[in-house]
Amino acid sequence: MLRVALPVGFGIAVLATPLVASGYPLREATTILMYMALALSWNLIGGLCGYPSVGNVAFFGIGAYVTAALVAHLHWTLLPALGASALAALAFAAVIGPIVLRLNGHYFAIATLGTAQALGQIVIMVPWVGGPNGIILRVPIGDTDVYYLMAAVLGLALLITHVILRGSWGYACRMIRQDEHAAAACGVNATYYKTACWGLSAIVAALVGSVYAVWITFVNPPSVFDPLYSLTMVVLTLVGGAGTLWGPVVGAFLVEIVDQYLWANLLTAHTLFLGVVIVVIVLFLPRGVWPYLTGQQGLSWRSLFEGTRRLRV
Amino acid sequence: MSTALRLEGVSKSFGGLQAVRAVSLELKAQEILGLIGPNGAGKTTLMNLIAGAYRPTAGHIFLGAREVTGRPPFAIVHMGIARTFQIVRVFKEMTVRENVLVGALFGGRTDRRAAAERADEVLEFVGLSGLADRTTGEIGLAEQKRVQLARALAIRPSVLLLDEAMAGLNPGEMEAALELVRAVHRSGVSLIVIEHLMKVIMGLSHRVVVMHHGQLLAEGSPADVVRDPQVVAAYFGEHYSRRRQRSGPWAHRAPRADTGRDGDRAP
Repeated sequence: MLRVALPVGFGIAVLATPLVASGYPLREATTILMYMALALSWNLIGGLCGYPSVGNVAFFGIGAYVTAALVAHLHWTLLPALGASALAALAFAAVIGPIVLRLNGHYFAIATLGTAQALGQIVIMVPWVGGPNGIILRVPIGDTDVYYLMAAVLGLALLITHVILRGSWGYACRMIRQDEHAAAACGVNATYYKTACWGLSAIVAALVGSVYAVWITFVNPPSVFDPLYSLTMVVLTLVGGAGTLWGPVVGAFLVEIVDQYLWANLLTAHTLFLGVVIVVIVLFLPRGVWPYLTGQQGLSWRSLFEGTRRLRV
Repeated sequence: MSTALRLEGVSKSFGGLQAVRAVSLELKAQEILGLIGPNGAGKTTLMNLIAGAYRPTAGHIFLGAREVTGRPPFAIVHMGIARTFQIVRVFKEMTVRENVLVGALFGGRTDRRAAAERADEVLEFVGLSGLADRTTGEIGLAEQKRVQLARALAIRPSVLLLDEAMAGLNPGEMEAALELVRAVHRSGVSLIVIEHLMKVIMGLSHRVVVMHHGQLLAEGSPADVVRDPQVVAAYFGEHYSRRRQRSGPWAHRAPRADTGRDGDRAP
Protein backbone atom coordinates (compact mmCIF):
# COMPACT_ATOMS: atom_id res chain seq x y z
CA MET A 1 0.00 0.00 0.00
CA LEU A 2 2.60 2.49 1.17
CA ARG A 3 4.94 1.30 -1.54
CA VAL A 4 2.64 2.56 -4.28
CA ALA A 5 0.73 5.32 -2.49
CA LEU A 6 3.78 7.14 -1.22
CA PRO A 7 5.66 7.66 -4.50
CA VAL A 8 2.46 8.44 -6.38
CA GLY A 9 1.22 10.88 -3.72
CA PHE A 10 4.61 12.51 -3.45
CA GLY A 11 4.90 12.76 -7.22
CA ILE A 12 1.50 14.40 -7.57
CA ALA A 13 2.25 16.83 -4.75
CA VAL A 14 5.56 17.81 -6.33
CA LEU A 15 4.12 18.20 -9.83
CA ALA A 16 1.05 20.13 -8.66
CA THR A 17 2.85 22.64 -6.46
CA PRO A 18 3.47 25.22 -9.26
CA LEU A 19 -0.29 25.20 -10.00
CA VAL A 20 -1.05 26.60 -6.58
CA ALA A 21 2.14 28.44 -5.71
CA SER A 22 4.20 31.15 -7.35
CA GLY A 23 6.70 33.75 -6.32
CA TYR A 24 8.30 33.27 -2.93
CA PRO A 25 6.46 30.04 -1.94
CA LEU A 26 7.45 28.41 -5.23
CA ARG A 27 11.07 29.43 -4.79
CA GLU A 28 10.92 28.04 -1.27
CA ALA A 29 9.52 24.79 -2.68
CA THR A 30 12.39 24.71 -5.22
CA THR A 31 14.84 25.08 -2.34
CA ILE A 32 13.25 22.16 -0.52
CA LEU A 33 13.46 19.97 -3.63
CA MET A 34 17.10 21.00 -4.01
CA TYR A 35 17.95 19.93 -0.48
CA MET A 36 16.03 16.68 -0.91
CA ALA A 37 18.13 15.86 -3.97
CA LEU A 38 21.36 16.89 -2.22
CA ALA A 39 20.50 14.74 0.78
CA LEU A 40 19.84 11.80 -1.56
CA SER A 41 23.20 12.44 -3.19
CA TRP A 42 24.98 12.16 0.17
CA ASN A 43 22.83 9.18 1.09
CA LEU A 44 24.22 7.21 -1.85
CA ILE A 45 27.74 7.24 -0.46
CA GLY A 46 27.31 8.15 3.22
CA GLY A 47 24.03 6.41 3.98
CA LEU A 48 24.19 3.31 1.81
CA CYS A 49 27.91 2.58 1.91
CA GLY A 50 28.68 4.17 5.29
CA TYR A 51 31.38 6.43 3.85
CA PRO A 52 30.76 9.80 5.54
CA SER A 53 31.73 12.24 2.79
CA VAL A 54 32.09 15.83 3.96
CA GLY A 55 33.06 16.97 0.51
CA ASN A 56 30.02 16.44 -1.69
CA VAL A 57 29.89 20.17 -2.23
CA ALA A 58 32.78 19.62 -4.64
CA PHE A 59 30.38 17.91 -7.06
CA PHE A 60 27.76 20.60 -6.51
CA GLY A 61 30.36 23.26 -7.29
CA ILE A 62 31.67 21.43 -10.34
CA GLY A 63 28.11 21.14 -11.67
CA ALA A 64 27.41 24.82 -11.08
CA TYR A 65 30.71 26.00 -12.58
CA VAL A 66 30.71 23.75 -15.63
CA THR A 67 27.15 24.79 -16.49
CA ALA A 68 27.91 28.46 -15.90
CA ALA A 69 31.08 28.38 -18.00
CA LEU A 70 29.54 26.43 -20.87
CA VAL A 71 26.43 28.60 -21.01
CA ALA A 72 28.06 31.99 -20.44
CA HIS A 73 31.38 31.55 -22.27
CA LEU A 74 30.70 28.91 -24.90
CA HIS A 75 26.99 29.67 -25.44
CA TRP A 76 25.84 26.10 -24.95
CA THR A 77 22.16 25.47 -24.47
CA LEU A 78 20.96 24.31 -21.10
CA LEU A 79 20.40 20.56 -21.47
CA PRO A 80 23.78 19.70 -23.06
CA ALA A 81 25.39 21.84 -20.35
CA LEU A 82 23.59 19.82 -17.67
CA GLY A 83 24.83 16.58 -19.21
CA ALA A 84 28.40 17.89 -19.46
CA SER A 85 28.25 18.99 -15.81
CA ALA A 86 27.21 15.53 -14.69
CA LEU A 87 30.00 13.96 -16.76
CA ALA A 88 32.58 16.40 -15.39
CA ALA A 89 31.61 15.57 -11.79
CA LEU A 90 31.63 11.87 -12.63
CA ALA A 91 35.13 12.17 -14.08
CA PHE A 92 36.33 14.02 -10.98
CA ALA A 93 34.74 11.35 -8.75
CA ALA A 94 36.36 8.60 -10.79
CA VAL A 95 39.79 10.19 -10.37
CA ILE A 96 39.69 10.89 -6.64
CA GLY A 97 37.35 8.03 -5.67
CA PRO A 98 39.87 5.18 -5.82
CA ILE A 99 42.22 7.32 -3.70
CA VAL A 100 39.93 8.62 -0.96
CA LEU A 101 37.75 5.51 -0.82
CA ARG A 102 40.76 3.56 0.47
CA LEU A 103 40.26 5.50 3.69
CA ASN A 104 37.28 5.17 5.93
CA GLY A 105 35.63 6.77 8.94
CA HIS A 106 37.15 10.07 10.05
CA TYR A 107 40.00 9.77 7.59
CA PHE A 108 37.62 9.58 4.66
CA ALA A 109 35.62 12.52 6.04
CA ILE A 110 38.73 14.69 6.37
CA ALA A 111 40.09 13.68 2.95
CA THR A 112 36.82 14.60 1.23
CA LEU A 113 36.55 17.86 3.17
CA GLY A 114 40.07 18.77 2.14
CA THR A 115 39.47 17.84 -1.50
CA ALA A 116 36.41 20.06 -1.73
CA GLN A 117 38.14 23.00 -0.03
CA ALA A 118 41.16 22.65 -2.29
CA LEU A 119 38.97 22.56 -5.37
CA GLY A 120 37.28 25.81 -4.31
CA GLN A 121 40.69 27.44 -3.92
CA ILE A 122 41.88 26.15 -7.28
CA VAL A 123 38.82 27.60 -9.01
CA ILE A 124 39.71 31.04 -7.57
CA MET A 125 43.00 30.86 -9.46
CA VAL A 126 41.49 30.12 -12.88
CA PRO A 127 40.89 33.40 -14.78
CA TRP A 128 38.78 31.75 -17.49
CA VAL A 129 36.00 31.08 -14.96
CA GLY A 130 36.32 34.55 -13.46
CA GLY A 131 38.66 33.77 -10.58
CA PRO A 132 37.26 35.10 -7.32
CA ASN A 133 34.60 37.10 -9.20
CA GLY A 134 32.80 34.10 -10.59
CA ILE A 135 30.54 33.95 -13.64
CA ILE A 136 27.24 35.60 -14.42
CA LEU A 137 24.99 33.57 -16.69
CA ARG A 138 21.60 34.25 -18.19
CA VAL A 139 19.32 31.44 -19.21
CA PRO A 140 15.88 32.60 -20.29
CA ILE A 141 13.78 30.36 -18.09
CA GLY A 142 11.28 31.18 -15.38
CA ASP A 143 10.80 30.04 -11.79
CA THR A 144 8.41 27.27 -12.80
CA ASP A 145 10.88 25.79 -15.28
CA VAL A 146 13.59 25.81 -12.64
CA TYR A 147 11.21 24.14 -10.24
CA TYR A 148 10.47 21.33 -12.70
CA LEU A 149 14.16 20.91 -13.53
CA MET A 150 14.88 20.51 -9.83
CA ALA A 151 11.98 18.08 -9.53
CA ALA A 152 13.43 16.05 -12.42
CA VAL A 153 16.80 15.84 -10.68
CA LEU A 154 15.06 14.76 -7.47
CA GLY A 155 13.13 12.13 -9.42
CA LEU A 156 16.38 10.82 -10.89
CA ALA A 157 17.99 10.67 -7.43
CA LEU A 158 15.00 8.75 -6.05
CA LEU A 159 15.06 6.36 -9.01
CA ILE A 160 18.79 5.66 -8.63
CA THR A 161 18.42 5.02 -4.89
CA HIS A 162 15.38 2.81 -5.44
CA VAL A 163 17.10 0.69 -8.06
CA ILE A 164 20.17 0.24 -5.86
CA LEU A 165 18.21 -0.65 -2.73
CA ARG A 166 15.99 -3.11 -4.55
CA GLY A 167 18.66 -5.22 -6.21
CA SER A 168 21.64 -7.20 -5.04
CA TRP A 169 23.57 -3.93 -5.23
CA GLY A 170 21.68 -2.90 -2.10
CA TYR A 171 22.95 -5.98 -0.29
CA ALA A 172 26.49 -5.17 -1.33
CA CYS A 173 26.14 -1.63 0.08
CA ARG A 174 24.69 -2.86 3.36
CA MET A 175 27.53 -5.36 3.68
CA ILE A 176 30.17 -2.74 2.96
CA ARG A 177 28.58 -0.42 5.52
CA GLN A 178 28.51 -3.08 8.23
CA ASP A 179 31.85 -4.82 7.69
CA GLU A 180 33.92 -4.35 4.58
CA HIS A 181 36.31 -7.23 5.35
CA ALA A 182 33.43 -9.63 5.80
CA ALA A 183 31.90 -8.30 2.58
CA ALA A 184 35.14 -9.10 0.73
CA ALA A 185 35.16 -12.57 2.32
CA CYS A 186 31.72 -13.08 0.77
CA GLY A 187 33.05 -12.24 -2.68
CA VAL A 188 31.89 -8.61 -2.85
CA ASN A 189 34.12 -6.34 -4.94
CA ALA A 190 33.81 -3.47 -2.46
CA THR A 191 35.94 -1.05 -4.48
CA TYR A 192 33.62 -1.42 -7.45
CA TYR A 193 30.41 -0.82 -5.52
CA LYS A 194 31.84 2.03 -3.45
CA THR A 195 33.22 3.81 -6.49
CA ALA A 196 29.97 3.35 -8.40
CA CYS A 197 27.92 4.80 -5.53
CA TRP A 198 30.39 7.65 -5.22
CA GLY A 199 30.04 8.38 -8.94
CA LEU A 200 26.24 8.35 -8.80
CA SER A 201 26.37 10.61 -5.76
CA ALA A 202 28.56 12.97 -7.80
CA ILE A 203 26.16 12.97 -10.75
CA VAL A 204 23.16 13.87 -8.58
CA ALA A 205 25.00 16.64 -6.71
CA ALA A 206 26.37 18.05 -9.98
CA LEU A 207 22.93 18.18 -11.59
CA VAL A 208 21.58 20.00 -8.54
CA GLY A 209 24.50 22.44 -8.79
CA SER A 210 23.80 23.00 -12.50
CA VAL A 211 20.16 23.83 -11.95
CA TYR A 212 21.13 26.01 -8.99
CA ALA A 213 23.54 28.00 -11.16
CA VAL A 214 20.89 28.58 -13.80
CA TRP A 215 18.41 29.58 -11.13
CA ILE A 216 20.65 31.99 -9.19
CA THR A 217 22.29 33.22 -12.47
CA PHE A 218 25.60 33.74 -10.70
CA VAL A 219 28.32 31.44 -9.39
CA ASN A 220 31.45 32.27 -7.42
CA PRO A 221 33.70 30.07 -5.27
CA PRO A 222 32.36 31.06 -1.82
CA SER A 223 28.76 30.45 -2.86
CA VAL A 224 28.98 27.10 -4.67
CA PHE A 225 31.95 25.60 -2.79
CA ASP A 226 30.51 26.53 0.59
CA PRO A 227 31.32 23.61 2.96
CA LEU A 228 27.99 24.28 4.67
CA TYR A 229 26.31 22.45 1.77
CA SER A 230 28.30 19.31 2.58
CA LEU A 231 27.33 19.51 6.23
CA THR A 232 23.69 20.20 5.41
CA MET A 233 23.55 17.05 3.26
CA VAL A 234 24.85 15.01 6.21
CA VAL A 235 22.45 16.55 8.72
CA LEU A 236 19.35 16.23 6.52
CA THR A 237 20.11 12.57 5.80
CA LEU A 238 20.85 11.66 9.41
CA VAL A 239 17.68 13.39 10.60
CA GLY A 240 15.54 11.64 8.01
CA GLY A 241 17.18 8.22 8.05
CA ALA A 242 20.47 7.32 6.42
CA GLY A 243 20.52 4.38 4.04
CA THR A 244 16.78 4.51 3.33
CA LEU A 245 14.99 5.72 0.20
CA TRP A 246 12.61 8.22 1.79
CA GLY A 247 14.65 9.20 4.84
CA PRO A 248 16.67 11.96 3.13
CA VAL A 249 13.47 13.33 1.53
CA VAL A 250 11.65 13.43 4.86
CA GLY A 251 14.70 14.88 6.62
CA ALA A 252 15.14 17.66 4.07
CA PHE A 253 11.44 18.51 4.21
CA LEU A 254 11.28 18.59 8.03
CA VAL A 255 14.45 20.58 8.57
CA GLU A 256 13.61 23.11 5.86
CA ILE A 257 10.08 23.62 7.19
CA VAL A 258 11.30 23.97 10.77
CA ASP A 259 14.08 26.26 9.57
CA GLN A 260 11.61 28.49 7.72
CA TYR A 261 9.25 28.60 10.66
CA LEU A 262 11.99 29.47 13.12
CA TRP A 263 13.51 31.97 10.74
CA ALA A 264 10.19 33.76 10.36
CA ASN A 265 9.49 33.80 14.08
CA LEU A 266 12.86 33.93 15.80
CA LEU A 267 15.04 35.84 13.40
CA THR A 268 17.92 36.51 15.79
CA ALA A 269 18.27 33.05 17.32
CA HIS A 270 16.82 30.75 14.69
CA THR A 271 19.99 28.74 14.08
CA LEU A 272 20.28 28.10 17.83
CA PHE A 273 16.79 26.63 17.97
CA LEU A 274 17.29 24.73 14.72
CA GLY A 275 20.41 23.20 16.24
CA VAL A 276 18.47 22.14 19.34
CA VAL A 277 15.75 20.54 17.20
CA ILE A 278 18.33 18.59 15.18
CA VAL A 279 20.22 17.43 18.27
CA VAL A 280 17.02 16.23 19.93
CA ILE A 281 15.93 14.32 16.82
CA VAL A 282 19.31 12.69 16.31
CA LEU A 283 19.63 11.73 19.99
CA PHE A 284 16.20 10.21 20.34
CA LEU A 285 15.85 8.78 16.86
CA PRO A 286 19.41 7.75 16.04
CA ARG A 287 18.32 5.92 12.93
CA GLY A 288 16.28 8.89 11.76
CA VAL A 289 12.66 10.00 11.51
CA TRP A 290 11.71 7.75 8.59
CA PRO A 291 12.51 4.40 10.29
CA TYR A 292 10.45 5.69 13.23
CA LEU A 293 7.49 6.59 11.01
CA THR A 294 7.55 3.17 9.36
CA GLY A 295 7.76 1.43 12.74
CA GLN A 296 11.27 0.04 12.27
CA GLN A 297 12.54 1.99 15.24
CA GLY A 298 10.82 2.77 18.53
CA LEU A 299 11.17 5.93 20.57
CA SER A 300 12.45 5.49 24.09
CA TRP A 301 15.00 6.73 26.58
CA ARG A 302 17.19 3.82 25.58
CA SER A 303 17.72 5.27 22.13
CA LEU A 304 19.71 8.03 23.85
CA PHE A 305 22.44 5.52 24.59
CA GLU A 306 22.01 3.61 21.37
CA GLY A 307 22.64 6.85 19.55
CA THR A 308 25.93 7.54 21.26
CA ARG A 309 27.29 4.24 20.07
CA ARG A 310 25.78 4.14 16.62
CA LEU A 311 26.73 7.50 15.21
CA ARG A 312 30.37 6.90 14.56
CA VAL A 313 30.55 9.21 11.59
CA MET B 1 45.59 -37.65 -3.88
CA SER B 2 45.61 -34.42 -5.78
CA THR B 3 46.52 -31.11 -4.23
CA ALA B 4 43.82 -28.63 -3.31
CA LEU B 5 46.05 -25.80 -2.15
CA ARG B 6 49.80 -25.35 -2.32
CA LEU B 7 52.01 -22.74 -0.65
CA GLU B 8 55.57 -22.26 -1.90
CA GLY B 9 57.95 -20.30 0.30
CA VAL B 10 55.33 -17.84 1.45
CA SER B 11 56.65 -14.99 3.61
CA LYS B 12 55.12 -11.88 5.09
CA SER B 13 56.80 -9.08 6.99
CA PHE B 14 55.24 -6.10 8.68
CA GLY B 15 58.03 -3.54 8.77
CA GLY B 16 60.83 -5.28 10.64
CA LEU B 17 58.65 -8.11 11.92
CA GLN B 18 58.69 -11.33 9.93
CA ALA B 19 55.30 -12.78 10.77
CA VAL B 20 55.53 -15.67 8.31
CA ARG B 21 58.83 -17.01 6.98
CA ALA B 22 59.15 -19.18 3.91
CA VAL B 23 56.22 -21.45 4.63
CA SER B 24 55.67 -24.25 2.12
CA LEU B 25 52.82 -26.64 2.61
CA GLU B 26 50.22 -28.63 0.76
CA LEU B 27 46.59 -29.21 1.45
CA LYS B 28 45.49 -32.39 -0.26
CA ALA B 29 42.06 -32.69 -1.78
CA GLN B 30 39.47 -33.93 0.71
CA GLU B 31 41.85 -33.41 3.60
CA ILE B 32 41.43 -31.73 6.97
CA LEU B 33 44.72 -30.07 7.82
CA GLY B 34 45.15 -28.86 11.39
CA LEU B 35 47.27 -25.75 11.88
CA ILE B 36 48.54 -25.27 15.41
CA GLY B 37 51.17 -23.25 17.20
CA PRO B 38 51.61 -20.98 20.21
CA ASN B 39 50.12 -17.51 20.30
CA GLY B 40 51.75 -15.21 17.79
CA ALA B 41 53.11 -18.08 15.70
CA GLY B 42 51.65 -16.57 12.52
CA LYS B 43 48.70 -18.89 11.98
CA THR B 44 46.09 -16.20 11.39
CA THR B 45 48.55 -14.23 9.25
CA LEU B 46 48.97 -17.32 7.10
CA MET B 47 45.17 -17.56 6.75
CA ASN B 48 45.02 -13.91 5.76
CA LEU B 49 47.71 -14.52 3.15
CA ILE B 50 45.81 -17.42 1.63
CA ALA B 51 42.53 -15.47 1.66
CA GLY B 52 44.20 -12.44 0.06
CA ALA B 53 43.67 -10.03 2.96
CA TYR B 54 47.46 -9.60 2.96
CA ARG B 55 49.77 -9.81 -0.02
CA PRO B 56 52.78 -12.09 0.58
CA THR B 57 56.18 -10.36 0.60
CA ALA B 58 57.55 -13.46 -1.13
CA GLY B 59 56.34 -16.83 -2.34
CA HIS B 60 53.42 -18.24 -4.27
CA ILE B 61 50.03 -19.71 -3.44
CA PHE B 62 48.22 -22.04 -5.84
CA LEU B 63 44.67 -23.30 -5.78
CA GLY B 64 44.93 -26.47 -7.83
CA ALA B 65 46.84 -25.30 -10.89
CA ARG B 66 45.80 -21.64 -10.66
CA GLU B 67 47.88 -19.06 -8.85
CA VAL B 68 46.00 -16.91 -6.33
CA THR B 69 48.95 -14.88 -5.03
CA GLY B 70 48.30 -11.15 -4.98
CA ARG B 71 44.67 -11.33 -6.05
CA PRO B 72 42.14 -9.30 -4.08
CA PRO B 73 40.14 -11.19 -1.42
CA PHE B 74 36.85 -11.13 -3.34
CA ALA B 75 38.48 -12.66 -6.42
CA ILE B 76 40.01 -15.42 -4.30
CA VAL B 77 36.54 -16.15 -2.93
CA HIS B 78 35.28 -16.44 -6.50
CA MET B 79 38.05 -18.95 -7.21
CA GLY B 80 36.75 -21.16 -4.43
CA ILE B 81 38.50 -20.33 -1.15
CA ALA B 82 36.15 -19.35 1.66
CA ARG B 83 37.01 -18.47 5.24
CA THR B 84 35.64 -17.75 8.66
CA PHE B 85 37.12 -15.15 10.99
CA GLN B 86 38.63 -15.75 14.41
CA ILE B 87 36.64 -12.84 15.80
CA VAL B 88 33.15 -13.40 14.42
CA ARG B 89 32.31 -11.10 11.53
CA VAL B 90 28.66 -11.45 10.65
CA PHE B 91 26.35 -8.75 9.31
CA LYS B 92 24.60 -8.01 12.58
CA GLU B 93 21.88 -5.81 11.11
CA MET B 94 20.79 -8.47 8.62
CA THR B 95 18.74 -11.55 9.31
CA VAL B 96 20.41 -14.94 9.57
CA ARG B 97 18.97 -15.93 6.19
CA GLU B 98 20.26 -12.75 4.53
CA ASN B 99 23.73 -13.38 5.95
CA VAL B 100 23.85 -16.74 4.24
CA LEU B 101 22.08 -15.52 1.11
CA VAL B 102 24.72 -12.88 0.40
CA GLY B 103 27.40 -15.57 0.51
CA ALA B 104 25.64 -17.45 -2.28
CA LEU B 105 24.74 -14.26 -4.13
CA PHE B 106 28.22 -12.69 -4.30
CA GLY B 107 30.54 -15.58 -3.53
CA GLY B 108 28.64 -18.26 -5.41
CA ARG B 109 27.66 -15.72 -8.06
CA THR B 110 24.12 -16.90 -8.54
CA ASP B 111 20.94 -14.91 -9.05
CA ARG B 112 18.62 -13.89 -6.21
CA ARG B 113 16.30 -16.87 -6.51
CA ALA B 114 19.07 -19.46 -6.60
CA ALA B 115 20.83 -17.67 -3.73
CA ALA B 116 17.68 -17.82 -1.60
CA GLU B 117 17.34 -21.54 -2.28
CA ARG B 118 20.99 -22.15 -1.51
CA ALA B 119 20.63 -20.15 1.74
CA ASP B 120 17.72 -22.28 2.93
CA GLU B 121 19.58 -25.44 1.99
CA VAL B 122 22.71 -24.41 3.94
CA LEU B 123 20.69 -23.17 6.92
CA GLU B 124 19.06 -26.59 7.05
CA PHE B 125 22.47 -28.26 6.81
CA VAL B 126 23.97 -26.29 9.72
CA GLY B 127 20.77 -26.50 11.76
CA LEU B 128 19.87 -22.82 11.73
CA SER B 129 16.54 -23.01 9.93
CA GLY B 130 14.71 -22.12 13.13
CA LEU B 131 16.64 -18.85 13.47
CA ALA B 132 16.51 -17.86 9.79
CA ASP B 133 14.40 -14.75 10.30
CA ARG B 134 16.13 -13.50 13.46
CA THR B 135 18.40 -10.46 13.36
CA THR B 136 21.93 -11.85 13.51
CA GLY B 137 23.12 -9.35 16.14
CA GLU B 138 20.54 -10.71 18.57
CA ILE B 139 21.50 -14.39 18.57
CA GLY B 140 24.19 -16.06 20.69
CA LEU B 141 27.88 -16.40 19.87
CA ALA B 142 27.69 -20.11 19.07
CA GLU B 143 24.90 -19.41 16.60
CA GLN B 144 26.76 -16.45 15.10
CA LYS B 145 29.75 -18.73 14.53
CA ARG B 146 27.41 -21.11 12.78
CA VAL B 147 26.06 -18.27 10.64
CA GLN B 148 29.63 -17.41 9.67
CA LEU B 149 30.26 -21.02 8.68
CA ALA B 150 26.97 -21.20 6.79
CA ARG B 151 27.83 -18.02 4.91
CA ALA B 152 31.16 -19.52 3.88
CA LEU B 153 29.49 -22.76 2.80
CA ALA B 154 26.91 -20.91 0.73
CA ILE B 155 29.82 -19.82 -1.47
CA ARG B 156 30.32 -23.52 -2.42
CA PRO B 157 34.06 -23.37 -1.78
CA SER B 158 36.50 -26.10 -2.65
CA VAL B 159 38.79 -25.00 0.18
CA LEU B 160 37.53 -23.71 3.51
CA LEU B 161 39.71 -21.93 6.07
CA LEU B 162 38.39 -22.14 9.63
CA ASP B 163 40.09 -19.81 12.10
CA GLU B 164 39.26 -20.93 15.63
CA ALA B 165 35.73 -21.89 14.78
CA MET B 166 35.33 -23.63 18.15
CA ALA B 167 36.86 -21.10 20.56
CA GLY B 168 34.40 -19.85 23.13
CA LEU B 169 31.90 -22.64 22.66
CA ASN B 170 30.71 -24.78 25.58
CA PRO B 171 31.31 -28.57 25.45
CA GLY B 172 27.86 -29.32 24.03
CA GLU B 173 28.13 -26.64 21.36
CA MET B 174 31.62 -27.83 20.51
CA GLU B 175 30.51 -31.42 19.99
CA ALA B 176 27.84 -30.16 17.61
CA ALA B 177 30.30 -27.89 15.81
CA LEU B 178 32.79 -30.77 15.40
CA GLU B 179 30.09 -32.94 13.91
CA LEU B 180 29.20 -30.09 11.57
CA VAL B 181 32.79 -29.66 10.37
CA ARG B 182 32.97 -33.41 9.69
CA ALA B 183 29.75 -33.16 7.70
CA VAL B 184 31.23 -30.25 5.72
CA HIS B 185 34.27 -32.39 5.00
CA ARG B 186 32.11 -35.31 3.87
CA SER B 187 30.39 -32.99 1.41
CA GLY B 188 33.73 -32.77 -0.45
CA VAL B 189 35.41 -29.66 0.95
CA SER B 190 39.12 -29.55 1.86
CA LEU B 191 39.76 -27.71 5.10
CA ILE B 192 42.52 -25.92 6.94
CA VAL B 193 41.58 -25.66 10.59
CA ILE B 194 43.34 -23.35 13.05
CA GLU B 195 42.52 -24.32 16.58
CA HIS B 196 44.00 -23.81 20.00
CA LEU B 197 42.00 -26.61 21.53
CA MET B 198 44.00 -29.81 21.13
CA LYS B 199 40.91 -31.91 21.60
CA VAL B 200 39.49 -30.42 18.40
CA ILE B 201 42.71 -30.74 16.42
CA MET B 202 43.32 -34.32 17.52
CA GLY B 203 39.78 -35.40 16.81
CA LEU B 204 39.43 -33.67 13.47
CA SER B 205 42.69 -33.43 11.54
CA HIS B 206 44.07 -35.98 9.15
CA ARG B 207 47.39 -34.21 9.31
CA VAL B 208 48.78 -31.45 11.51
CA VAL B 209 51.34 -28.74 10.81
CA VAL B 210 52.88 -26.76 13.64
CA MET B 211 53.98 -23.15 13.28
CA HIS B 212 56.37 -21.35 15.58
CA HIS B 213 57.83 -17.85 15.16
CA GLY B 214 56.36 -17.72 11.66
CA GLN B 215 58.00 -20.94 10.47
CA LEU B 216 56.85 -24.49 10.00
CA LEU B 217 58.18 -26.47 12.91
CA ALA B 218 56.75 -29.91 12.36
CA GLU B 219 54.32 -31.83 10.24
CA GLY B 220 52.74 -35.23 10.57
CA SER B 221 49.89 -37.22 11.99
CA PRO B 222 48.25 -35.65 15.05
CA ALA B 223 49.66 -38.33 17.35
CA ASP B 224 53.23 -37.94 16.04
CA VAL B 225 53.22 -34.17 16.13
CA VAL B 226 52.35 -33.89 19.80
CA ARG B 227 55.24 -36.22 20.65
CA ASP B 228 57.72 -34.17 18.66
CA PRO B 229 60.24 -32.71 21.15
CA GLN B 230 60.50 -29.48 19.11
CA VAL B 231 56.76 -29.01 19.34
CA VAL B 232 56.73 -29.66 23.06
CA ALA B 233 59.55 -27.15 23.43
CA ALA B 234 57.65 -24.54 21.45
CA TYR B 235 54.59 -24.91 23.63
CA PHE B 236 56.12 -25.49 27.06
CA GLY B 237 59.60 -23.99 26.73
CA GLU B 238 63.03 -25.59 26.32
CA HIS B 239 63.39 -26.29 29.99
CA TYR B 240 60.39 -28.53 30.25
CA SER B 241 61.25 -30.26 27.02
CA ARG B 242 64.81 -31.06 28.11
CA ARG B 243 63.67 -32.32 31.44
CA ARG B 244 61.19 -34.58 29.79
CA GLN B 245 63.76 -36.03 27.44
CA ARG B 246 66.20 -36.67 30.24
CA SER B 247 64.08 -39.17 32.11
CA GLY B 248 62.52 -36.45 34.22
CA PRO B 249 59.66 -37.11 36.58
CA TRP B 250 57.20 -37.14 33.68
CA ALA B 251 59.28 -39.09 31.23
CA HIS B 252 57.28 -42.27 31.59
CA ARG B 253 54.03 -40.52 30.77
CA ALA B 254 52.64 -40.19 27.30
CA PRO B 255 52.45 -36.51 26.38
CA ARG B 256 49.05 -35.08 27.10
CA ALA B 257 48.23 -32.85 24.26
CA ASP B 258 45.15 -31.28 25.80
CA THR B 259 47.20 -29.58 28.48
CA GLY B 260 48.72 -27.25 25.91
CA ARG B 261 49.41 -23.69 26.86
CA ASP B 262 46.00 -22.65 25.69
CA GLY B 263 44.36 -25.68 27.15
CA ASP B 264 42.97 -23.45 29.87
CA ARG B 265 40.70 -21.98 27.24
CA ALA B 266 38.88 -25.26 27.06
CA PRO B 267 35.71 -25.14 29.10
